[in-house]
Order: sequence, then structure tokens, then C-alpha cells
Amino acid sequence: MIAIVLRRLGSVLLVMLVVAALSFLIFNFLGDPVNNILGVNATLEEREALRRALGLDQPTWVQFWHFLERAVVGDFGISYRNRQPVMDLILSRMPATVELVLCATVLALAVGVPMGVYCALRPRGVLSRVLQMVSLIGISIPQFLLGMLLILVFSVELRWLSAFGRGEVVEIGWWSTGLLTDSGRKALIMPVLTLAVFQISMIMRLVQGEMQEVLRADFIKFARARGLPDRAVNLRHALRNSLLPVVTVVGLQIGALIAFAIVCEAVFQWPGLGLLILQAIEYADFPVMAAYLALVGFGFAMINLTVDMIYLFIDPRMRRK
Amino acid sequence: MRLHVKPLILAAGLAAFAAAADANTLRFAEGQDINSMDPHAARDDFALSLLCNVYEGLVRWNADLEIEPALAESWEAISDTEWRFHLRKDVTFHNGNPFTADDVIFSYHRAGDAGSPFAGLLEPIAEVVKVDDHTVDFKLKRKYALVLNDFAGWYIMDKEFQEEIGSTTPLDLSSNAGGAMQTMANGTGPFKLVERQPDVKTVLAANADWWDEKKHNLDEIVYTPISNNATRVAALLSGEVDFIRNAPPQDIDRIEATPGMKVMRGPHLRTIFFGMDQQSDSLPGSGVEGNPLKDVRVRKAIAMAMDVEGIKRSIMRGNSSPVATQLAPQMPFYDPALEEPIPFDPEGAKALLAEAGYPDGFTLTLDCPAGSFINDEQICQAAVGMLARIGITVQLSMHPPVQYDTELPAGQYSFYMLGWAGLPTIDPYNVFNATVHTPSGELGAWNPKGYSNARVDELIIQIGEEYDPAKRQEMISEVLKTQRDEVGKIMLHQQFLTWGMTDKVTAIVPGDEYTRFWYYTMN
Amino acid sequence: MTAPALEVRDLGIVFDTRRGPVPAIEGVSFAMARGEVLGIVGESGAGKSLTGNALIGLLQAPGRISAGSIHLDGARIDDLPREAQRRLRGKRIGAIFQDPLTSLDPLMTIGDQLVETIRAHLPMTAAAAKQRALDLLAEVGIADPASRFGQYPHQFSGGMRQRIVIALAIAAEPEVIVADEPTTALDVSVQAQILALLRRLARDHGTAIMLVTHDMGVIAEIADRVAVIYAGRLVEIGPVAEVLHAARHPYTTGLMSLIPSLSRREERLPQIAGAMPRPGQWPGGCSFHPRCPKAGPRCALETPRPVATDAVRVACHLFSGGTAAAPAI
Repeated sequence: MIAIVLRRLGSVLLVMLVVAALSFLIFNFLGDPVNNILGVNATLEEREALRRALGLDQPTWVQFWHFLERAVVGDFGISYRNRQPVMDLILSRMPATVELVLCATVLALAVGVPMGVYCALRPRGVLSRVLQMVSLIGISIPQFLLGMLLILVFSVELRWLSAFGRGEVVEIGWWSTGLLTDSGRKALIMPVLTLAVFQISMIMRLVQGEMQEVLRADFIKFARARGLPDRAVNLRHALRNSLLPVVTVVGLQIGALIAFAIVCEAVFQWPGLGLLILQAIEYADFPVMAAYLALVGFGFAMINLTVDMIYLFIDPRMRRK
Repeated sequence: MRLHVKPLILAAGLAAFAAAADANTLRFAEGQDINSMDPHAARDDFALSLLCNVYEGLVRWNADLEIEPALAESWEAISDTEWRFHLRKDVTFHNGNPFTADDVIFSYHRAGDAGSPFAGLLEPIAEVVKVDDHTVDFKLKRKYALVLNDFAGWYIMDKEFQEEIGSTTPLDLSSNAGGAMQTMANGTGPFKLVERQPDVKTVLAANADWWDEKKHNLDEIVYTPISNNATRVAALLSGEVDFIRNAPPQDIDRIEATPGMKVMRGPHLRTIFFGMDQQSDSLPGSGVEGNPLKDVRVRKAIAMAMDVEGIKRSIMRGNSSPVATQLAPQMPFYDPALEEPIPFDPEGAKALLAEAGYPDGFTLTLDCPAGSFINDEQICQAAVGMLARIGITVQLSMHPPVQYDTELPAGQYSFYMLGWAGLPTIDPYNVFNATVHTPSGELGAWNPKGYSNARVDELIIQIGEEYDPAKRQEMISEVLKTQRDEVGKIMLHQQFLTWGMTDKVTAIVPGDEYTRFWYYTMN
Repeated sequence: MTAPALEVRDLGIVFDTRRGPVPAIEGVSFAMARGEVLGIVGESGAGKSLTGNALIGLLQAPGRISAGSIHLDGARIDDLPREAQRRLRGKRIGAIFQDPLTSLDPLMTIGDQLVETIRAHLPMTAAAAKQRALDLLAEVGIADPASRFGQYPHQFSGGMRQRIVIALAIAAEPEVIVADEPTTALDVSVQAQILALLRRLARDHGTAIMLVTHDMGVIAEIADRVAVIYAGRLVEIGPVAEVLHAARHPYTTGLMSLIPSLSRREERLPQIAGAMPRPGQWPGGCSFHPRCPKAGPRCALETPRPVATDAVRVACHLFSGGTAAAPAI
């Protein structure tokens, strides 16, 4: 088991390295941050001077090497836009996104799994058909559209919820949370729904599909033949065996959402990582982008590792090695 | 015990509510946050358009975009190259520090020393000399006509405070020092910073000790960046914000139709045009020999093909005004004698093209920014169709602004959209030296491979040095007329500002887009 | 006279389709005594497993019982409510399926699966149930039950897993066990051990075992009686020795010739050419007549009823008191 973890950590480093290298290549096509830093009226000399000061006049691979040198000691440089250490910036934005994504995931699991189980058990029922249709809409509706619809209904028409922002947040150490205030909780409602609708639909369909498959398995028939109550057969045996792929997909979804909740964050002006990277791209804020992409690589690798650990926990067959 | 606590909280809550209801809080949303509270961090009109409420220069623009005294109460020219400024004596910074000549000298060095973003702006100044605590002399390197204009965009910071927090240079990307100016500001302006969470919220409060007579009645300004256009409009419509600058054109009708909302309009100083490569000997990909854009008849034919009124009608929804030259009518030294644009005449354009030797047209690539100017993408798409009518095939290439602003000055485009407002100088000189002068050194940076006329270049230099307004007017008109006759640019239009707000707010809408909140009132 | 452990009377099963019900089992009747092993043989699709599923109340839609009745120890069980049927399953009628590799939940220890089954039927404390589970494991021949109790199915071999399946089936001491091809998926060497175990259960506990198989060798080895099903109908039932060595029904005769050890190898079923018809395509009269070497005109017109000849019941016109040559009426 320790060997698995170590091997994984090795590949994590490799992934981060490749991602960082790729991001450096991409930077060359993004434009020049010097324009943004100095403004359009700056003279050529001023531009050149700043370019030299930032090391942007050097070949890409040299810049990449300097980046690596600093990155290994945790120094990702200073953001061109915010003039703040990149790590501080990312850490300060992370709680907003993580809170949003985790709330959405918890909601998605709490709603999606029971719905999926119900639909698997009564595939021909009227409610199942309705749920399946609704989930199809949930999967195909663009986040932007859904978010704007919610804003139009709950902010503009009903004036119940705020169209933007996190509301009041409470600082706990370096973490900030909106869960402890009324306005913070209210602010979460629409962004969480926007993110969760797709996830609910996806989890529901995934659970339904997997569980229908498992329900046809011999051991379920045998469990019924053993005279176990339906509840035990459906939940203890069928659902549990259906959850392995769900764990994988949900894990990757969490990662994808934390990294790329960009649309949702942009719609609701949610001050998280998505907005940060969006602004960094617009500004050609290379240090933020490089650190961010490397960390995303790291995050995904860690999630994969966690998923594997959960696999080990759930599925005894994996423990053999 | 519990019973006793509750009414207390309730009472406190009511009191807070009452106070909030009495106070005039202007909640203001904008598409982006300013990058720093440091007014020297960048020559960035967007940031300065907000920071002008916190910091002040020696002079400032009034509501009619005329120069008026600010931190300097008067000034005089000692010679052609020496200016004396008499500083106001009763001014304090927000932290209580007095404003003196030392702060002016400190701010000159902070903003203008080599490597700082304002070095270009302050380049004509050779030396700043303290005469006494409230008198400063500026010695110029040469005759320079725009000292006051430039000073209106250069803000004074508190020497003592900046040294205290260790931020004496604006562009230190190697350390954390710049970060301090993210959340701190100590100016002399009508509003002071009370709270700032970068990218989330910035709260300004009225400065009770402001030196000037207070015309506004705002107590507080809460500025929230909301990047998504639709969300920002929704926030206005839902009553969560009172004021948004630059309402998206497609939402203007909706805002105006909402009870309690209005849109205030005003002409923008910026004019939009297409620039052209008039220097290269050939135009790769054009399908014809040579560079057709070097021929004035071809340029004129392109101008005649542009249905600018049609663009105003169907794309700008009336919120634009066709222009004949690069100077918007609200700019100083505008010449009404030159306001007749080249008429829309596609048939004439075809004939002119044939005369120039291109009866079958040719192929052009039009480079266009996505999101720099109002409806830039749609205008460029319309241009593709209009040019197709006279036989010119246009391939449209869209770019994100950050890429566009890098590649355009580097001369990578041969036919491109650009807009220029001459900010913060607000003088034709700035427009000319950036976009009309033949590219050389610091001049013509935004006119790569573009229009070039030796006489015009010479005039531009003189315009920068001439103090006599009548002589300046003459020269400026000559530059405008020459460039118009030679079709140096394909002129399109002047944008209109459309600011959405609740009926409670009365704002001014100046052509440079600055939010000068000290003119705003709420009821 | 005591009631048989299990009795099936005139059982009919249909599949509901869009074009109406299609019969899959028709007029099947048999009884099993305590401790008896009844083999059910027939080709794939004949209806053996369907009958087995009907007995344990796990007939799946679109299949359903359309006629007849099932009696357990004299009491009718096929019309009981769903929940009551569930309580019977495992408690009074156990089941063993073909593939031990897939019959056990892979994510649960075998001990938990046993305890779960025991406690579903018997009012026992967790500790008592565990003790019983250990006893059961020992009974089915799992060495060192205590240490294997906490292991997962994948840690056992196929034969071991089938032993565990059997332990699960007998967890609540059912009177009847339906064993559907219990040895088909196993190695030949293991088959014999499992069959011996079943045989011993029938003898020691008086459990009636219905052994569904297509393998006449298995029948020969452990069954007391054998029932032959062809195209949804019981064609012959009787003591193993009688049926194997003196098959009456022409189909049984053909089937017997499939067993190398029991018949002369050179007679390779010339008389059983063709394929068994699927439900919905049964011919009129005797279902077997299109393939039957001895068929007469009557066989196509009239479905033969089972008649008793000695200990054997057979459904064939050759034995229904006349000839296959002419209709009775």
C-alpha cells in the first residue's frame, strides 16, 4: 500500500512538471503582460526595461528553469496583476471555490444517489420517467444559462437572493467560510444549484445505470433467494456494488469543479479560483497561471490517489497487491 | 436571560438599519476590479478613473473637462521651460499628515523615475525643486505645451506614509511591497478608503476634511466588480447596486423600461477607426501585386464602402456618432470645418477601385479585438460584408485584448481596428503622437507600418511645444485635414457612454469615462 | 400419510408479451419426499430453471405462474403475498445457483453474508449467529472456519465458494433446496465433492433437493428420481434406475444416448435430430412429434397426458392406452 502511494506521488510530480512546461509553452501565445502592467501609453524603452526586469526577454526554457528553481521551494513568484505572492493569492481564493464545490457535491450526492436508486428499482415507473427526462435537461443545460435564469427569477423578479458575491464571510485562520452567516448561506444557494444540477443529473444516471447492471447480477438473485429483505438487497448489496464507478466520477468531478468552476464563478461573481484564473488569463498574469496549472495538476493527481484509497477501502479485491 | 438579550439585539439591529437608511451609500458595480490602490502602478485609465476620487493631482479636470486648480492653487510660467506651482496650504492626507512640497517631489520620483510606468508621462521634466514648503518649481527639458494636462493624470502620494509602509516604488514585482498598495491608500481626495477586499469589494467613505467645497452628498461608495455583463445588469435591476458604468448596449432598453431606472448618456472622447499598413511593399495573401493600401484611391474606396450610419442604426442602436477625423467633437482643438465624413457610396467605391487598377478587388485580413471596444466584433463582421460589396474579400481574425495589444504595436497586422481617446492628456497631441506620427522610437507606437507624412510629423512635434492656442489650432487643423484627405485611417464613429443607474442617482457622464463622484448626488 | 415436502400441481408458466401470453411451462406436476433428490433434466430452454425459479418465488417479469399450484408441506405457497414468500425463501426453500464465482457479494465477507442470512430468518443474537455460521462452514467442509470467516469471496476457490453458497442455502435449515446446475461451472474433480455434500445434506437433514441439470451423469450419481422436461412439459418422471436404463419416452431414450458411460457410443442420436422448439413455437399435439422417430398421426393432433406405468409416469401416446397410430376419439 505504501508502495502504491509512493509510486503515485512520483507520477504526481511528473504530471506537475509536464503541466507547468506546457503552460509555459502556452504563454507565448497569450500576449504580453508588459502592456497591461505599464498601460498603452508606455514607451518602448519602458516596455523593454520591464521585460528585462521580469526576465521575459529570455528564452522560454530559461524562464521555465527559473520558475522550477523557485517553485521547488514553494515560491511561485509575484502576481503581475495583484502584486501579491501567487501562493497567498491562490490560498486566499481557494476556500470560496472549495466551499462552493463541496456544497454542490454533497447536494448532488444527497439528491442524485437516491434518485438513481429509485429509478433503477422502478425503471418503468412514471416518476422514474419524469426524473430521467428532467435529468436529461439537467445534463444538457449550459451552466451560464441556468445561472442567469436563477438570477432573473430569484434576484431580479423575486428579489430573494443576491445576484453576486459570497455575502458576509467569517475568517477562521487562513480559511474563510460563508457557512456561518445568513447572507453567506443565502449567497451559496444559487451558485451551488447551478453547479449541482449537472452533477445531480449525472450521478443519478450513473447510479441508475450501474445499479440496473448490478441488479441483474447473480449475487443479487442469490441474495433474494437467501430471503433477505428488499432493503438489504437493494442498498447493502446492489447499491454498494454500484458505487465504485460513482466514486471515481464524483472524485474527478470535484477536481474538475474546483479547477474549472469558471463559468459558475463568473456568472455569480464568486471570488474563487475560477475568477482568479479568468482574470489572470485576461491580464496575461503568467506567474498566477503557471502556479495555478501546476497546482491543478497536483490536485487532480491527489484526487486520483484519494479515489484509489477509497477503492481500497470499498473493494477488497483491490487489496491483493 | 434570553428574553433580555433578544430585544437588545433587535434594537441594535434597528439602529444600524436606520443609520444605513439615512446614509447615502452609492453601490457601484463595474466589469473588473482595479488592480491596485497605487495610482502610479500603471498608466491605466480604468484604475485612475476610480482612484481620482481618492488621490488628486496638482490640477484636475472639472465636469466640463477643463483644467482647474487642485492641490496647486495657482501656477505661473517663470520661463518657457520653468513652471512654478503654489501649493494649497490647508490640505491634509486621509491619515492626517499635512500635504507639502516634499510630497510632490516624492511623488515625482516615485512615479517618474526610470522603470516606473509614469516615466514616459513625466519625461519632459528635467528637475523638480522645492522653493519652500508650499512652492515647487518644475524645470522642463524643452518647451512642452501639455504640462498641466499631464499633471491632471499624475497623483500625489504621502511621502511619510509611503516610506512607512515600504512602498516607495510602484513597480516592484520582485517583492511583496506592491501588495501593500492592494489594500491601502492615503490620498487627499474627496473620498478615503475604508475597506478593500481585492476582486470582491472596495468601500470608500466621504472625506470630511476635504479641502474643497463639498458638492456631492454621498456618505459612502461601495464598489463591487461583477465581470459578467448580464449579472451586473441583473444586480442593477434587482436593486442590489445603484450604478453601473457602461451598460451593455443590448440591455439599455431593458434598464430604461424598468421603473426607477435610467440610462445617462454622453459622448465618449474615443473614436474608432481601421488602421492600415501603408508602408510595406507587398501585402502577403492579398492575391495582387504590391500593396494596394498604399494607393490613396484604394483607401478612399474602403472608406466609401463603410456604411457607418448603418452600423450606428443596427449595431450601436443609435449610441454612436459618425466622425470625419480622429478628434471627437468634445476634444479641445476640434475643428468643425472638418466634420464632414467621406460619404457612403459603394458604387463610387467600386469605380475608384477599378481606377486604381483593382476592378476585381483583392483579399485582406482584418484583425479585430474581442471586447476592447463596444460591439467591436459585430462592427468588424459588418465591415466584412460591406467590403465584400465592392469586391474586397476580407478574412476576419479575432483576438483577445491582451494578445491584440501586444501584436498590434508589434506591426503584425495590416488592417486592424483601433480606438483612441488621448487619455489622460485629453489633447490632440497625445492622439497624434501615438497613432498618427510615423513610427520612430517613442512616437507612433500605435501606428506601426501605418500612415506617414513628413510634414505631419513635423507639425506634431511643434504641436507638443507650442504654447499659443491659436497657433496650435492652426497646426492641429492642418494635421487633421491632411490625414483626412489622404485617408490615413478609415474613420468609423465616436462611441457613446451609456451609464445605467437608479433614479435616485444624479451623475455626470464625462467623455473620458472618469467617475468623478464629487459631482454625484443621491436623493 | 404425510404430505410431500414439496408438491407441484399442474404448473403453468407464461411469458407476457405484446402479442399476449406465451406458454413456457404447461401442466407440470410432481412431488418430492423428504430427503429425496429429484433430478430435473432437459435441454437448455426446456423450462427447468423456470420451474426452479417458480418454486423459490423468484420468477421474473415478464414470466408469471398462470396455472396450477405449489405446495410446501401441504400448504399452498404460490399465492402467498410477496413478503410472506420472501420469508419462505432461505428459511424453508433454499436455493443454489450455477456459478459460485458470481453468487456471492464480492464486497462483503462470507461471514457477514452468512450472519446476515441467518439473522434474516432466525431470531438470534449476533454472537449466536456467528457461532452458527462457523458451524455451517464446518459442515460444508471449509477447513479452519474461524480464520476464513472474515475473508472475502475472491479469497476462495470455485469449489470452496460453492460450499459457502451451500452453507448459505442451508443456513436456516430449509426443507427444500432448489439447486440449479450447482456443479456445471466447477472442475470435474470438485463436482463430485459438491454432489457428495448435497447427497449428505439430503440424507442427514432430510432436505428434499431438486437438482436442475442438463448433465445425465450428475443425475445418475446422486438423484433418487428424475424428471425429464421437454419444451415446457414433463415427459417422463420416475426412479433414476428405471428412467436411465429403461426409458419409455422416445425423447428420454434419445437423451440417454447422450451419456457415453450409459449408452453405446456408436449410436449417436440419429433419432433426435432437429432442435427443441422455443416457447411460442410449440407444435400442436405432442411437442416432440416433429423430431420423434416413432410419431404417428395422433401425436400431431393430441397432447398426451402423463400416465403411470409402474413407478414411472410418462406422457406419450405410445403409453396412453392405445397406439400412436390413431386418435383416441
